[in-house]
Amino acid sequence: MHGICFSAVTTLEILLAQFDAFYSSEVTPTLHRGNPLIEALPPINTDIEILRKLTNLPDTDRNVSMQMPPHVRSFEIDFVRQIYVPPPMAAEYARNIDYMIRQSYVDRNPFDSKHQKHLYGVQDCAKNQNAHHETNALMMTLKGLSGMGKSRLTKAVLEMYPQVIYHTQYRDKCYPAAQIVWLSVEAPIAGSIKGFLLSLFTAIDRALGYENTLKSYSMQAKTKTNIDNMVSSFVQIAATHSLGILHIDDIQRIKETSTDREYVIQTIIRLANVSKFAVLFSGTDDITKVIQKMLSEKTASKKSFHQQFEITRRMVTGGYFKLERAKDFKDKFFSKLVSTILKYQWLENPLIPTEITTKFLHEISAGLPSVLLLLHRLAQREALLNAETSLHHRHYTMAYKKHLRPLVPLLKVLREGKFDDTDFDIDGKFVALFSKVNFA
Amino acid sequence: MSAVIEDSLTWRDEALAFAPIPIPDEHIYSFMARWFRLSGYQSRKDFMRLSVGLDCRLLSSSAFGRFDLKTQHVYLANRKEVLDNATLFPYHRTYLPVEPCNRIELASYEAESQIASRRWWRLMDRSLVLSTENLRYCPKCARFQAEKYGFTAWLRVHNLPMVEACVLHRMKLRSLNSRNSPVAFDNPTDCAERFFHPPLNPIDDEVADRAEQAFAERSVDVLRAGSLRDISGDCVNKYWQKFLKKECKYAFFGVNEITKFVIRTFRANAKKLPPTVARYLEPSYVRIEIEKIFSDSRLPMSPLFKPMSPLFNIALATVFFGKVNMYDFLACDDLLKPDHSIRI
Repeated sequence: MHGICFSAVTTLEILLAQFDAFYSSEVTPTLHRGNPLIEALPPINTDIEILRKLTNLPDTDRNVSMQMPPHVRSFEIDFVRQIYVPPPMAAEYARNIDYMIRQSYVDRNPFDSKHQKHLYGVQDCAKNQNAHHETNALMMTLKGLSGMGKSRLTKAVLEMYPQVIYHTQYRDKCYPAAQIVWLSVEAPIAGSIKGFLLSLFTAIDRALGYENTLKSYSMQAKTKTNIDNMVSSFVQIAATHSLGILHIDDIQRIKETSTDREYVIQTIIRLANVSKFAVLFSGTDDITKVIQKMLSEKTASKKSFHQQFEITRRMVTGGYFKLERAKDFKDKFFSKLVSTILKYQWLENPLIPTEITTKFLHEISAGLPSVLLLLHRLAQREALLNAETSLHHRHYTMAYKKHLRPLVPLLKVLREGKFDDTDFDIDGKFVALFSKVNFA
Repeated sequence: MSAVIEDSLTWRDEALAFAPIPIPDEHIYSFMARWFRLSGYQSRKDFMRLSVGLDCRLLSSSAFGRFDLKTQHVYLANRKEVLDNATLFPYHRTYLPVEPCNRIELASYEAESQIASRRWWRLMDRSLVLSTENLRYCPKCARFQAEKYGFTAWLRVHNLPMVEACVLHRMKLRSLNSRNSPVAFDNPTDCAERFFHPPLNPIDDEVADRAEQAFAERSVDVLRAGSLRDISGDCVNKYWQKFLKKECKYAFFGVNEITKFVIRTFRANAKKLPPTVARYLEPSYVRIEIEKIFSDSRLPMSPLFKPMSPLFNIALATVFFGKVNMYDFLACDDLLKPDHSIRI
């Protein structure tokens, strides 16, 4: 009588579904069993499997390429853009993301009445800023210099999961739903909260295939001026579609405005708290400055201290990672990267990976992977266009001077190591705060 | 490519990616309100356009003509199934002549007949099939639903014409909508109790107890009969015999006496009946139907207790007492296979 389907509707005709959910309870931890949102996720990988999946080495046929005339062959060099060698912390980073995604679903079993109650009350929670919800959403921060490959690493990790999983039936229960495993958006330019919400709606539309249709959430949101309505709408959509993790890239952008900065971060935390999804922040070292600036501005009251403490604490509840620049040419990752990219050469006499070459490439690229890849492409192109048959260090120098001129002074600063250690100076700040705030 | 696949591909592009799961006996309006809530759309009109395909704000009869329970990936039910399992149509079908019933069912199958059958959909107006005004619910049922499912729903059993009490809890039903206008999906006044049903306070419990007692005193026998699973079984016959013998004293009378009694009772209660239902309770219809029943009955058993006529029993119970056990009404297999031979 109380089965979860239409009473007397016995013939549920399930048509077909792209990206159909496949449930595997055998390799699922005991705590996660019985939850279709977790069981439908790809199996948990070992570190080796993760690294293997993240690594991208394009297949090229050197013999075929070498038959081409140089001006055509220069286009083959673009294969270098596809090369991706994950940094040493990638496996741990991917494991953390995996943990956060799965953990965010633990309390969201769609067949649990508590979760259903949460689903129907989520809009009111957001509107009333009601605190009657469990704040177990995890947040993680990844920082690193521009060009270290933060976005690419995060994107590669997220793409190990299907973005949307379509459920039709779980065991003997009908469950028509689209589960959005991850969303990736960029932080709002100038800290505009409305712009940020619109980008979230656009990302949802793109994930669900609602773009340019009547179903488009972003089209609807554009006509609404009330931010509260947009927030409540988003938390409902995120809860209904079981959003697993929200990646916010270039979070340092929000420092550009002073008025909405705190509001944006608090809004993100509020969204995550209410809808129970995990959040992943990534950005340059300016993240540190954003938080430090907030701390330095408000040191007078206990209330502001607690607010800032909460924000900072929440941003790292899932972990804190930093992509370190290779400060030495003997860095294992850098050496591996150099030896990998040097396999991709389209000149008759390729450059041999030696210690001198590695040292030279480290010096010229300041240890930044993106600069190294860029120089490797440009140097080969320079050599080919000059009708040379061998790749030499001088080609890298030529490309560096010719194409990377605007970057030269900046790379020089990096080589001097001036901005390598701007990490969270929170401990020092907190000591200062404790001395100022009267807790009595 | 077959028309079916073509059609399915078309609607998969248009349909929403998800749908909630209907609970047993849930009214279609309740399902739509839940769906709207979960969809995250702020505009009821936009939602109706996406789910039903019409520019309308409420689930009107014309919108229902196009209604299919479908999502982007799962086809839940067609209009016929929705009509039978999520509206009050099975109840009202009992009082309708065969022809309009068939036309309505036909209209629910064939898209091209929608316009042609619009007048029949008008016949099945909002109050009859969809019943969006004065939706009622039982607080105890709501509490049970909140515990079991995490949300509350409007059930058909509570929204039958003239039903004022919950047959399960014997409790007076609460009216959801005091404005006497169609219930709006996005109206907090209409929907608040559905999503945040508060626990009953002591005053509510007291009121409920009094209502339960009064209800039980007034129609205990009907409840006993109705609360049994199989309304056509021997136990039910026993209760009905006892009840009719005691209350009506017509149990062992012949066809004429029963006909007279039924017609008289219908006339006395005509004002209580919805006009659309009352139209089909004309004395001539009643006489024909009762004579039909007597003609093939196996006396001395009264035709009213025939296992073949549960609908007739329910109809009588509805007319006599204004109450009926919809749970049994729905559990009855005959309802799933429409049988128009038994009709008042």
